[in-house]
Formats: sequence, structure tokens, C-alpha cells
Amino acid sequence: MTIRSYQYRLQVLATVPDLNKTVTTNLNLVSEGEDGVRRFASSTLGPIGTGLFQTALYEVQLASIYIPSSELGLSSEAVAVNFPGVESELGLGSVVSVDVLATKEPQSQLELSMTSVATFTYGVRNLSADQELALSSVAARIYEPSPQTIITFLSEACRLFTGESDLALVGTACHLFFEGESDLDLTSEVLVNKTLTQNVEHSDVVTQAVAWFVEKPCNRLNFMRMHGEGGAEHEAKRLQYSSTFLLQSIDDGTIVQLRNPEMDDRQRYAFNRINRNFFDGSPDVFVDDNWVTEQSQTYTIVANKREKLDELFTFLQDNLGREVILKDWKGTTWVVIITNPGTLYTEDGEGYWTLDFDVEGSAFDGEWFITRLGLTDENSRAGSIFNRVGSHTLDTEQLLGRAYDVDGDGAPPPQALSLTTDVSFVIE
Amino acid sequence: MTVFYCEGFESVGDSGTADLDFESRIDATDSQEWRTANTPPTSGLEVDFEGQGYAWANGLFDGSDSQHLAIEFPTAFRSTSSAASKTYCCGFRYYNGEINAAFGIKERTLFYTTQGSSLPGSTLANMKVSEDQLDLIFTPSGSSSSTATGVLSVNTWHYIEIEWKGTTNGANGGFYRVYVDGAQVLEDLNANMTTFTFFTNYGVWVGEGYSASGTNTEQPSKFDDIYIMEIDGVEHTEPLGPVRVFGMTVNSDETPNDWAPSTGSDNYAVIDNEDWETADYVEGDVTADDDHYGVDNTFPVTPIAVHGVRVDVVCEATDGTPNLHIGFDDGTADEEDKGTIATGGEVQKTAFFDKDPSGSDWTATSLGSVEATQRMTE
Repeated sequence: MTIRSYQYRLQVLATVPDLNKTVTTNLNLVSEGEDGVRRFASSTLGPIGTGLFQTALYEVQLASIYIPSSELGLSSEAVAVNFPGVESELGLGSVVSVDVLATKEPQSQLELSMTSVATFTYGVRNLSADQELALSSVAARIYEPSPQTIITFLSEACRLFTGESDLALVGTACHLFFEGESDLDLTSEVLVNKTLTQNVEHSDVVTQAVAWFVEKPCNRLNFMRMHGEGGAEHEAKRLQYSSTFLLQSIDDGTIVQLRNPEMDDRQRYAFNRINRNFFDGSPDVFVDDNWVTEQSQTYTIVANKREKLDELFTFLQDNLGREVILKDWKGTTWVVIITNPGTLYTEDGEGYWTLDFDVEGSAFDGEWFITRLGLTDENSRAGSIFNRVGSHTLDTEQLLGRAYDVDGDGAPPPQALSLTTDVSFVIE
Repeated sequence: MTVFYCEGFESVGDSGTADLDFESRIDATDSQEWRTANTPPTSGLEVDFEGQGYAWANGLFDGSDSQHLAIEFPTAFRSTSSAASKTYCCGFRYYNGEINAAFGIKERTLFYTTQGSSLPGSTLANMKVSEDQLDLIFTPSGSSSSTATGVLSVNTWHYIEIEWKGTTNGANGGFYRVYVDGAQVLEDLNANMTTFTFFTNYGVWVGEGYSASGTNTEQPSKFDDIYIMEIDGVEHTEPLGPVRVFGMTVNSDETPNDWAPSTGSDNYAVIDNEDWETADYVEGDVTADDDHYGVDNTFPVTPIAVHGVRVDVVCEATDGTPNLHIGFDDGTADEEDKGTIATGGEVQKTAFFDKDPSGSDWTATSLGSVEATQRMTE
């Protein structure tokens, strides 16, 4: 006896919720609160889509609570979306989102009890009020926003330029709910104390070359004639050369400075002279147009301490064969190529070294600054016999103050510094 | 309670030649095959209706009896002597895609589609479609009718439910209530239900077509979740609501697991395939061999009232005269002896249970808590 079963299946005949039916019913909620004020709420349930009933319900459920303006003396309206309490009674898992356009409860925390009656216009099985929808609900209002709101603006505006129209504070206070004006005590203090940081970004290297010459610096000298005894004592002559010996790399801006040394100047002029004898025996001399400005120079620096010697030697090694800026002890600026960093340094005394190196280049008219300017930098210039000491602090007024007083009035030379590069000012 | 139902079908209305797939027929007799037989239908398109279950798309019906989907009643159900006191409830879901289509209800033809109002045969009710609305016309006695105007619309699924109590031929005393989408649209509590009382030939047939005097017209429509149940004289005062036919499968083995699978070790996996094959089976060859299965009760929509669960088994005896018992067990077996299974060909055995083994009404929860069973005796 054998039975073979090839298939075993089950089928269920069942009534299901009517998910395709549009169910629209009004939920009328009436409540009288402790303050004797009747509140009315209405809710529209539906339409019900083809999805789950619960989902469709809470999507469209709206409840509006209207407070008679005559009783409260206020024309106010509060709109509550998916009022809490309703959600729990219906078990719909709805999203609770209460938007109350009010800042304060009228009396105290008030429980708003709502009794509801749902009327279905036609029989929808299993959607009767005593089964699926328990529309007897209690909505408790526990949301009590604070009546006082302090809005503090901690801001500071500090601008050197136009600032009046940049900070506009527009405050609007709406008090639409419950009691009168006393409840709405919006004391707002606006402190405008914002610091606006002005950042200046300059991606380009701001360089400047300023040169000016004092045509008649000697006009200020007064020569006193004296003969014999008496007369005015000669004013002590002070060395005017406060310049330093400066080497600066054009490539990376590295600077090496030595204290105003005595250079034992020796300038070696090298040029080719072409002498040619013509048939008639007369010599003609030709010169190169540039030979005058191409100068080979040998610098000998004595009495260097070891650390300064190392720094200088490193610079000379790093920039061998490169154009560098050289400002000599007289303040004359040269653009030179280091041709020989020197090979033998001697220690003349204990800890004091002498070195020499060779460069070749030409003098630069005026004075050369390659310092990358920051607006907080303080630039100082050492003067030469033609260019005197100047220092300045760059500020946002873009003026360069110099302690150079040609005519004694203390004013800086006009257009001494002209920032013409692209500089973006970012004001935060 | 006796229930008959079928999942549904669709008419695409593309031909004057009927192409109804009779494999879709579901009836209460054991001799009729289930939807998916050994040889799947060779024509028609499989249609997945809303929710679980599917049926077949077919051609146009021409209105003759041979081209109707039948819910064929067993002889006892067709009884004419006691039918007068019986109360029935039937319903279906209907979708009409054309404004000029119509269908009717009559004995042996539960749903009958025709063009216009000229329905062949003794029409019990029809849904007449005018140019701008769909009216439901109910004609319980064949001579008098009542009309619910504008209760149907095209391109929309409607749920239609009719409850009636029969009367002796030509007498009043019966009643009917007609619901569309849960709302009552017609009612007569003292009606002559002559043509609804007796199912003299088969039962009710489901079909659609065109009038004998009409022409072939595209009448694409869909019928789904068709059922008719005898509710033992209990008069309902409200509709059952949307009734759906859900398919369930066995999804696990439970203890005991006596039957031997032809392949593999999981009995349920062999027999839960949708389109069965003769090579896949579980076999019981010892008296009292018992096979239990877990049930998948996952539904797209949770049922709120379960009217019954049906067990269908396609089986065959390979030798001897074994008996098949099918049913449920939650500690208290509730099975039905389907009698001796003959050798030489597969048969479908069906048992309907309107209670779970504990004797309680089925619920969505209890559907998954009981074990489905089959057992062999000799």
C-alpha cells in the first residue's frame, strides 16, 4: 500500500480590510478646559489609499484647535498637526508633530480632554468605531513653551570701512495665543558687538621697489666758520651708515645679514679691450656696451663669529650660480651672481673668522625690497648714503609711514607705497 | 458551512473564440483537478492579481455554457427539495475596462457578460453598462428587477457581494441584499428568489460573453476571488467585506515526518512546488505513516475574518488500496478521510476546514500555529 503525494497546498478564504475604499469621516472634538474656555477641534480622516490603513490615516490627519477670540481677547490660532493623545488612542503609529504658534499656555498646564464621535457614512465592515477605530480619545497638552525667549546676539562688527548697512537686525514677534499683552513680554536685547575679522589674502608676492633720492641732502648742513678761539664747538660727527650687509635669495627669500662690516672694498673691473691696428698703424679701441656695468666683486668679511660664518657660507653654497640680492655696507643694492663662495676661510683670532667670496653683477638703481609684505609686517629699511632709514607699519589704510623727514614736517612721501597687486580682502 | 471559490480569471476580449482555460476550475468534487495540473495550460496568460494568487487571461466568451468557468456544486448542494431554506452568500471582485461591457448573473452562470441589456437565458442579475455609468441590475426572479444606478465604474476594482435566501418556486419569503464596495445598494426582504433557489444542473458558472443577438465586442474584464458559500440559514445583516483567496504553502517539516521524499531530505520542499511533477513526491507505504508540515501564513494583508482553510493534495496510489487523511494538528488532530486512492493516475483531494483543530474559528494567528498533516491508512 503506497500513496504518493505530488503537491500539498493550502488556501485561505478570508475577509480582509478594505484598503481600496476611500473613507472620509470627520472627527469632531469638543472640550472644555479648566479655564472654562471651550475648545473645538476637528480632524479629517482620509482619504484612505491603497496602502496600509494606518499609514494613509496619519498622513492626512489634521487637527486644528480654534480658540474663540472673544473669550480670550486675543485673535489667536493654534494648529496642531497630529495632536498627541489622538495618536496613542488610535494606535496608528502616527508621527507626532505639534506645531503650536504660541509661546505660552494661557493659565497653566492644561489637559485638554476631547471626546469624539466618528460617523461613517456607510457601513465599512471592521471600521466601526468600537472595533478598529477607538475614536474616544484624550489629548493631553503637555507642551508648555517658555514665555520668555532671550535672543542673544553675540556678535561684534568691527570694520574700518562702510558698516552701517551690513548688519540688519529685523525682529518680528508674533503672539497669537491666549492671554493679553502682559504675557507677551518680549524683552529682547540686541547686542551688536561683533568682531569682523578682516583677513587679507594675497597669493601673490607683493613686492615693491621704492627709490627716491634726496637731491640736496647737504642743504641741511650748516658750516660754522671759526677762527681762533671761541665760536661754536664742532658738532660731533656721527657715522651715518647704519646699513647692514645683506644678502637675499631671490629664489626663496632667505636673508643673511651681517653687521655693518668694513668691506675692504676692492672692485675688480674686468673687460676686454680690443685693440686693432689698421694698415695705417693707428690703433682703434672698441668697447663693449655693457662692460661698464658688469662688475666682478670680491668681498672680504673679517671678524665673523663662527655661527655667522656658517650661516653665510651656507647661503653662498645654496645660491652659488644664482642671482641674489646684495646690499652692501653702503646701502647700494646689487643684483649679483655668486661665482665663488670662497674656499679658504681663516681664523684670524680666537672665534673670529675671515672669509671672502666673489660675485658678479650690476648695481640696482635705487633700493631693492623683496620682502614679502604682510599687512602686519613692519618693514624697515636701512638707508644708504642716498636712501635713509625708513620704517612703517602697514595698516588697512594702506599707507606707509616712514620716519623720513625731508622737509621736517613728518609727512610721509606721497605714493611711497602703491599696492597695485591683486589683493582680496575677506571680511568675516 | 459549505464554501466554493476560485481565484479568478481575466478576459482580454481579443477573440470571438472562447479560450477559457478550464484548468482554472475549482469545485468541490474530488475528481476535478486543481489549477496547476501536471500539464500546465497551453493557452492564456498568467495574471497576477492584487494580493496573492493568480489566474489566467483568456479570450472572449460567447455566452454558451461550454465556455464558462464553473463553480460546480456537488449533487447534495444542488438539492432542490431543501434549498428553499438555505441562505447563501457570494461575492467577487470585478474590474471592467470598457464602458460598453456588461455581465450578468444567473443560475449556472454566476457572472455573465453580454452587450447591452439583452441577456440570454434567465438572467438573475446583470451589470448593465451605459455610455456614462455602470448600473447594477438584479433580477432574482427573472421577471422583476431592481437597479442600482451608477454604482460601478470602469477601470476600477469593485467588490460585489450578494446575500440571499431562497424560496420555493414562485413564492415570496426570501430576501436578498446586494452590496457594492461594502455599501448596500439593493435590498428586498420579501423577495421571490425563484431563479436563485435551485441549482439544478451543476451549480453556478462564471463567464462572460456577448448577447446572442449582439456582436463580438472587446470586453476586457477581470474576475477575482469568486466564492459562494452556504451559510446554513444564518442571516447576515451586513456584508462580509472584501473576501480574498490567499494561497499558503507548507514551508517546513514537523514531527512526525514518516513519508519518504523522492529526492532530498525535506518532505515539504518536494511537494510545495507550484507546478508539480511526477518525479517529485513524498511517499507513505506503512499504515499510519504521518507527515506534518509547518505552514507559511505570511499574507500581504492581515485577514480580519477567516472563513475557512482548504487543503488540496494531488496524489496517486502506486499499489494497494490506501486511504488518504488530510487536515491539521495542533495537538488535537482535525483531519478528513478522503477515502481510498485509486491507482493509475493522479487525483486531487480537497478538504475544507472552517475551524481550526481546537474547534475555534480560524484566525490569522492560528493559521501559522497549526501543522498541516497527511496520513495513510489501509
